[in-house]
Amino acid sequence: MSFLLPKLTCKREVDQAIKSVAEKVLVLRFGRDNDAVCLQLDDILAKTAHDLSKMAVIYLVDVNNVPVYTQYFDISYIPSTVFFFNGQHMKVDYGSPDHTKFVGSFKTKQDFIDLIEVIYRGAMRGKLIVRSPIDPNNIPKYDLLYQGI
Amino acid sequence: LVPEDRNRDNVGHRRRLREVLAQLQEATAAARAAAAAADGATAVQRYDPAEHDGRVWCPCCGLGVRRDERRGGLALLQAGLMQHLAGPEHRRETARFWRENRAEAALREQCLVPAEEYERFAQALERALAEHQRREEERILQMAADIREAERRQRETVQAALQVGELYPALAAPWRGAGTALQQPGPSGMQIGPDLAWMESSKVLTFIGHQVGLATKPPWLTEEEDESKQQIGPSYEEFLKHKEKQKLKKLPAERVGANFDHTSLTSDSWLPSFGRVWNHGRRWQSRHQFRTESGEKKRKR
Repeated sequence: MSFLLPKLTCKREVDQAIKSVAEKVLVLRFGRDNDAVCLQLDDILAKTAHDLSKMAVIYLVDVNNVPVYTQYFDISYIPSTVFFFNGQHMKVDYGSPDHTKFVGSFKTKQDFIDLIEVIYRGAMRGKLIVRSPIDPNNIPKYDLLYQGI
Repeated sequence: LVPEDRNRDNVGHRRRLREVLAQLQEATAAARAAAAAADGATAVQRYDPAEHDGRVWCPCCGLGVRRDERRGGLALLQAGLMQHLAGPEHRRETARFWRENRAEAALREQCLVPAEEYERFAQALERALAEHQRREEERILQMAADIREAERRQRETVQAALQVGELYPALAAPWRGAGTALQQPGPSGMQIGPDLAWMESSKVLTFIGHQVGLATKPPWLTEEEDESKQQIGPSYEEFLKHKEKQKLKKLPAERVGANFDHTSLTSDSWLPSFGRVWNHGRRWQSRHQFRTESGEKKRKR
């Protein structure tokens, strides 16, 4: 499914995407194309991309291509999805340990659409962190390891 | 530009800064391009106040710099600007300007001219000047020769006419004007052509090389191209831009990243503000934190 969405292959392209996407939610999916969960997530992203085209721009990023960002965004699990709005990072309170990114795949397309809409509306009101509208049961569970422990 | 703290980071200031720097860069690039070709014949031109009195505004030093240098009746193209750009004053002022306005450091080199480049330019200019003078002198000599030649031919023609006039005075008559010819028809031995003795007696006029300034076009003949070609009113692209702006105005002003400059140039090491998981403090601090971390790692290795 991933061939349906545009890909960013180097740090410069990611920079450019973050800087140039204006008044829309920028969705960066960090992962690998052949990973099983990534495929599932990519399917959801690709199928919703058109419906969300006025609110969001979706890009796929391969974690191996951008080691700087992988490290900077603390990506330890793939897929991880990071949201930006007008060049600013948007945090979302999912009820999981990490507010900076969504780890894993969404359960349904509607979950993702709801999340984008909440982020968009929150950003338009000037909020840098929003509460996730997704049912906590539908959010994948994981443990976050502190660096060095 | 307003060097006050609160205005330094907003979009308007950055846009103005970009425009001003673009102008300066353009002027610098033009000067350097001209300097690279200073050996050619175009570097030195006859001074024309309308063309060579132009000034370039240097935003760093806050003064208008003469683009072309005037030396007597000649204009040295771009010499004034090059001298200014290569000067230590300008170098110091750009450093201050860049610091105060937080402009991108990469652009600064484009607004400066290295001293050795200016040296080369100055030498090339001297050569071009000497070459121009030599050509001018040659031209003057050539013109003097032409004038002498023309005078000689004129004298010969007059002589021939006088000789003819002795036989057929009517042919010589037009020399004295139609009226006299009509009044005194027929052959007349008394009639001799105009008295040309003064011409023979005095020497040929010496040409001292001064020319009446007719080489430049009079102002009413110079075409004003700009006005005729320029379209009146805003173009379609400008209209689209304006529409975009109006659209942006409708969005809430306090939205996230409303002031974010989407067009700024950044280097490869640029990182967005990102609130990291274990981050305390403001979001941009995580970037500094990350830099120090990665710096330490590199040192360890």
